[in-house]
Amino acid sequence: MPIGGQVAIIGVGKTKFGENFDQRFSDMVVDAAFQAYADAGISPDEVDAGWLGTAFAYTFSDEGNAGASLAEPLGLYPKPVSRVANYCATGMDAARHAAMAVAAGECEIALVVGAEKMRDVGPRQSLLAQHVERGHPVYAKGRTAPGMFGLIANRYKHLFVDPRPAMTAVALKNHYNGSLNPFAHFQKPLTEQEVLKAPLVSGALRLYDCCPTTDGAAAMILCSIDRAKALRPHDYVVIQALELASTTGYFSAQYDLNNDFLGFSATRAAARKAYEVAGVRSAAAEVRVAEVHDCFTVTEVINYEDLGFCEKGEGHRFVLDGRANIDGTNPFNTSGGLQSCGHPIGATGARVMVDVVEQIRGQAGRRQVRDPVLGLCHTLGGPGSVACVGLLSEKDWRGRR
Amino acid sequence: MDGIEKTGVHIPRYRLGRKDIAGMWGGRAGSGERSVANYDEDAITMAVEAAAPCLDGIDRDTIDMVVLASTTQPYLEKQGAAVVAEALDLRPGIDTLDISSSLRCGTQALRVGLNALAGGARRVLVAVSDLRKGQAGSKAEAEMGDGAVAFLLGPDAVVALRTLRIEFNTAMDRWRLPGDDFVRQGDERFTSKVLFQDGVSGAIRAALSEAGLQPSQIHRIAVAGVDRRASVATAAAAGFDATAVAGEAVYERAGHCGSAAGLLNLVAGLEDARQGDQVVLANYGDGTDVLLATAHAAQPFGTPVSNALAGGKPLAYAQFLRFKGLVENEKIEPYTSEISIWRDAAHLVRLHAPRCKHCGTIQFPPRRICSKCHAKDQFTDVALSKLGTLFTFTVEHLFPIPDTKLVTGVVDLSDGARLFTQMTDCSAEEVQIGMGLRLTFRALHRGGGFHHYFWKAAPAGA
Repeated sequence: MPIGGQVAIIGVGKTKFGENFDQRFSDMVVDAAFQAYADAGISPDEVDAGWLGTAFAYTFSDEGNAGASLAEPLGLYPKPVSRVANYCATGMDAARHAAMAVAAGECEIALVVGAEKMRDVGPRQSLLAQHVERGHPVYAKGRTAPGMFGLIANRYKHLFVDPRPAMTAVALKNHYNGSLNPFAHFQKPLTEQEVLKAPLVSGALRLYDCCPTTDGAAAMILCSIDRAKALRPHDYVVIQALELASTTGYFSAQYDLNNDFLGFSATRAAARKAYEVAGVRSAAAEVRVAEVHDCFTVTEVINYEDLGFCEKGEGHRFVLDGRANIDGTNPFNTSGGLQSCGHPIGATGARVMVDVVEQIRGQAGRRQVRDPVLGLCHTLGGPGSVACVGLLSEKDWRGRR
Repeated sequence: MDGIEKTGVHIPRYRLGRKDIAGMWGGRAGSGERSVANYDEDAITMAVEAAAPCLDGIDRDTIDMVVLASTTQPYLEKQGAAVVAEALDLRPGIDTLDISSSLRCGTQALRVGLNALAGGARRVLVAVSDLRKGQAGSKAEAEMGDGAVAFLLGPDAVVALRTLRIEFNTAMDRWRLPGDDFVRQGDERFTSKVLFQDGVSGAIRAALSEAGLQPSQIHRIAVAGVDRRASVATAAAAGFDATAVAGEAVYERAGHCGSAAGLLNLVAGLEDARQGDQVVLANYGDGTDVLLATAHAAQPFGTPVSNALAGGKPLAYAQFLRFKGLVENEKIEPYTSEISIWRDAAHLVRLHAPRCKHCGTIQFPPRRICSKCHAKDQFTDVALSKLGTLFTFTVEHLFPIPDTKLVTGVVDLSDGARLFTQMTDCSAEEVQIGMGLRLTFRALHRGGGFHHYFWKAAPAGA
């Protein structure tokens, strides 16, 4: 059976995102998972299987190479536990695998944990070293994570408009939202001058156009709709769609003749499929809250376009018009996004789903948007190689339409 | 007739003013500037750069030998000429040879090449390339430059080349011991009086006399003096006017480029030659080679030295230190595998790629399923174009290199392939989408303790 409309989220948990120097990888896993158990009202013994989303094991930290990094700290033996890795879409893809298992009837209650420990090393040894010192010794050498998006910002400026004002608007919006989020890495609003005077990183991107290097974990309990009706009858959240699309490989993405350097075909493909599965005809009209991949501010600008909230080349206007604000027509990244929460790679996909679940349940505190019956989750992986788009709704969304 | 068919010259883009060196360390400032190789250049890449124009319009399969002459080979044990041959996409079944140790190795390489032609080789490529280091504040630091020159030897010569005289000596004027980064110098007066004004000019006189030639019959004389003054004084002692001494601009704008120094002066001396003009080269290094070049056409090579000397960019002394590795740069240890580098050499060094037989799409990096029509294993092997335009770019402030900023770009090659690569020999300010680019073979890093090379993009005019 397909996932769409058949799988529910009944429990969520997350650690504080930040420089969690005093926490091991396993500490974060335990904290997130036990919050999710408590939130779902289940005991650990009721979990049938687990999925761990960790993108880069043995790269920044000493854990995360296999399901054992989840089974061991939680004592899940001998239940089946797998590790999923799919660049920055890792956490959402782990949830997708768990949801497929629930939909297939292979397990009734599934645990998903996304976790990444990035700050056991300095930021320069973390994601920068990923490009400088790892990977193919020659192809794409010189590329950095911000650099891949600097290429896009320059192309966008060449063909459409200088994205700088829109990038600044995203930074200001997401840092403001982060100031309302006690789980965020950064919880302080920025001024326009702080954004514009920050050191240059790559191309148009300055420091506050880039997400920080962060530790964190987030967890979810998934089950069938029938079990959800029994366990959490009033406010379980339904996965209406959870779609993954892949395009080019890690080193070949910038060599790809089909790459227009104005967005990501993986995002477009995953979104198209998700809308089709859920029956969404107009994202802008129907999606009431969205947590999307703002690894860099320009990424959020092109996400508006790739996800179909506006036309190509119009993403800058979307944010400058205030539509993506908490009180706008289509609030984006009310959590503060990756810009404020940080981006512990494997944890991010799970975290964005947890934040949308909290919005749908009305538990987002000062970030709460009005009547978010349908929310969108999005992660974009590697140099655009993979993207995952999910649609989550309140339990009666299909009936209410 | 056998001789030089073509030549190519490479003088690196960056120039350090001699007054800036004197300003740094005191002492009397010489005039002009010296050339400085970019941080991603070495003797191999400069040789490739100089040799590339020698292959324009030439059937590469007719080249039977490559000789690389240099005293600054990137490896003590490992051949440079083979890398040059591979980067120039020459047949694997040819002879490759390095000649090193002596600053006279360039003319020795030409002799080896001419002998090979006499022995049946169809064409021989000789590249002469050096980038030596002088101690901070030394005369050598200011007088030496970095540069390379290459010659295609073959039957359709436009310049005939004949060795008139060879002498060796064991005098200590310039030398390096194993492990020495910097050139050691003997007594300056001894070098200029005894070795050059007596030794080199004596060799020139003897060579001309044996050949039955008078200085007045010679269009230009090229001398591998450490500076202009030494060359002029040596030529004067052999009976030549200063106006006949070739290569004034080479010293003013590049300096003494090691084993390439005398040969650059020779090519400079041929720039204004008429048909039949003769140029004498007195190359020095552990003795003297005297050669006679005869032009079979007016301006047989055009003006490659003048072209290469034009358009340099000033370099600050602090940047010079970083380019040369004289101060410690951020250490990086990129992952590598000598096995995967070997496996992919046809793509990484030769820059070959599969092109789909069905839809014509070039696959780079190579893949087995066509990215457009999904045909499997239906490809022909093609050499990629080295010319293209910039599709988009970014200026990197984080990636550690010995320069302040790294520009990376997406380059659409003229044959339809697309390459993501680092840009070089350009400042961030001059980069714009749509600009014309050419690919140049450069050193990337030394992960695993060996040199990695790839094709970077430089402005088409650079």
